[in-house]
Amino acid sequence: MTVRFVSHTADVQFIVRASTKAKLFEECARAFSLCVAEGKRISPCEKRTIVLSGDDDLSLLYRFMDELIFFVDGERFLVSNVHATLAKNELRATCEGIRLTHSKGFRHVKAATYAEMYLKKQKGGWEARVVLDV
Amino acid sequence: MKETLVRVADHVYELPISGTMHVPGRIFASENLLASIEDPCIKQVANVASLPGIVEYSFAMPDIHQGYGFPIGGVAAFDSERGIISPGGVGYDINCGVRILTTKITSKEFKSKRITLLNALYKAIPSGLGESSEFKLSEKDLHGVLEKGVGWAVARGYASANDAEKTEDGGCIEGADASKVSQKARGRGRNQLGTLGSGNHFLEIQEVETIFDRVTARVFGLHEGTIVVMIHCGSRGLGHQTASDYILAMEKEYGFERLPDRELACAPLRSKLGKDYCAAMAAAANFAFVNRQIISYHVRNVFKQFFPREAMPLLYDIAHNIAKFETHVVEGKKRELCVHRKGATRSLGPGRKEIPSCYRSQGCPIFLPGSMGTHSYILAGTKTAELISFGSAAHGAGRVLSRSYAIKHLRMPDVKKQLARHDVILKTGSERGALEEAPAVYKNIDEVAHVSDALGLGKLVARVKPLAVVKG
Repeated sequence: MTVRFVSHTADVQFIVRASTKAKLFEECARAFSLCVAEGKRISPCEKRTIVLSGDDDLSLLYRFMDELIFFVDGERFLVSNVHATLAKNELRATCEGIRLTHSKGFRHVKAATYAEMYLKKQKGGWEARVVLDV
Repeated sequence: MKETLVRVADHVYELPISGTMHVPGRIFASENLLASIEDPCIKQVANVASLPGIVEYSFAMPDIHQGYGFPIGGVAAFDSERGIISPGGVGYDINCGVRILTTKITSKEFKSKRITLLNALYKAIPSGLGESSEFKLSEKDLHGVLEKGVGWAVARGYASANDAEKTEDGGCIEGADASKVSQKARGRGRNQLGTLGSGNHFLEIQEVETIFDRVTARVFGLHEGTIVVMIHCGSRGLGHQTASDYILAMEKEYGFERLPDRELACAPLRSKLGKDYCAAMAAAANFAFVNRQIISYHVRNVFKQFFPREAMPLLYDIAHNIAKFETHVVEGKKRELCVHRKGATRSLGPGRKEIPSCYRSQGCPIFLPGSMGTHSYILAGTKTAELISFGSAAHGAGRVLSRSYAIKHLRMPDVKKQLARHDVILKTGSERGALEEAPAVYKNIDEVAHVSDALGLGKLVARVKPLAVVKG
């Protein structure tokens, strides 16, 4: 499983790889967390649950990232680890993370985007690309 | 795709119709600026030209760079009957915009108190990720902000009638409907009113260094050697969530298979969903106007501690991520159009009814912020812009280098030294964030401003120089 940040002119772009589609969603959450925390170590102490459905893989991934962004802005909760399961187009995710008591030194993510987004099966696993509007 | 561009006049390049494009693209740029425009950006100009009901051209302003769906610096007008509205053509940060407060304080007077004043501003104005405001809005107040805009702030004593008058659309966009903004969006915005945010948003104290047009500058209240305060931010999480909500709703209702880019999800302007988005966008835009107004309220209170007699009147507040219903002349006939401006500013020439009466003889004020180490420009709207770009101009410098490039190749001590050489003091909560916004990652604002003036997209009025910067 890997997370790789790739250069993007205005915003933040990452490519993740994982052995299964569910783990791919977990890795996307980890990439999001790395992006927001800007490398700071997070020791999770709270949990949230997400249940989402989408019309296809990309809308599910978009909605998942959107939910993680809402956690930060609406509930001041930053995810660090996710355990995800997928059944058809439904995602169930248990999210561990921290409550943000201050925000200095954390990056604000405005939105998930469909820009250049993909999610595909590859030899030996799955790969996805996400661009976040910061 | 750059090789397909045809130079049709000085600083004007045309992208001929090909593939699914309904109209040509038109890019306003000098040769230098064109060199920094990459193919994905030009592809986005072509993609916008493929949307139903687009009129005349898919435009790119001189500060164009790659965005989502639309390029940043993209302008497109759609027929109000047969056209569409696209949240991707407005941007996630609905009514991201700029305002300027003027003062009679000289730069010398300001500099004598600069550090303590900057620290006080930084303390008074929340900035950074999801930073909360002292304004914990009740549902009733949030409703008032969304539907009444700056009128809500006037009623609560956070704004004057003059502030409302000198805000685009009087600080309240017609048709705003709070019920079209989701609970999720309200949840993100509720505690963020009066906050600056992060990324490229900033508050800057600047010196009016050069006046190009004395008459207009006097009308705008600009005087050489005095300081002004420029505020750049938007609708915070409330606007971002509104954009995401409607992108998902539109692709579900109308699909995306025929679109060249899924981020261009759209709905017919006359459809229920199209009208709902217009009402939600207007509400989020009102939130952004009030956000900048509350920040102004804090700024004035801080300045009062140091300069008790300063009123700090608002010069103007303009949106640069918005869609507006406007009347323009197309092929000799007046038409009602929905003009999408994403990273583009309205440039209306003298006489237009949309301009506050005090500025109507000069054209609407336009602000082109540079980066934190470079000049910014103040222009006035023109009749030429109404003819050649549906009354639109650039919105700033436009990025040219990536955030990761900045982190990899630039160093904060060097950026600070560079700022010090230009006599600029920076206060930031995130050095990494500030590094990503270093002057080197932006296009040459002087060139953007002068190309805009040469084309007639705006008329140069004044150049301002940064003295102190707050970044989230």
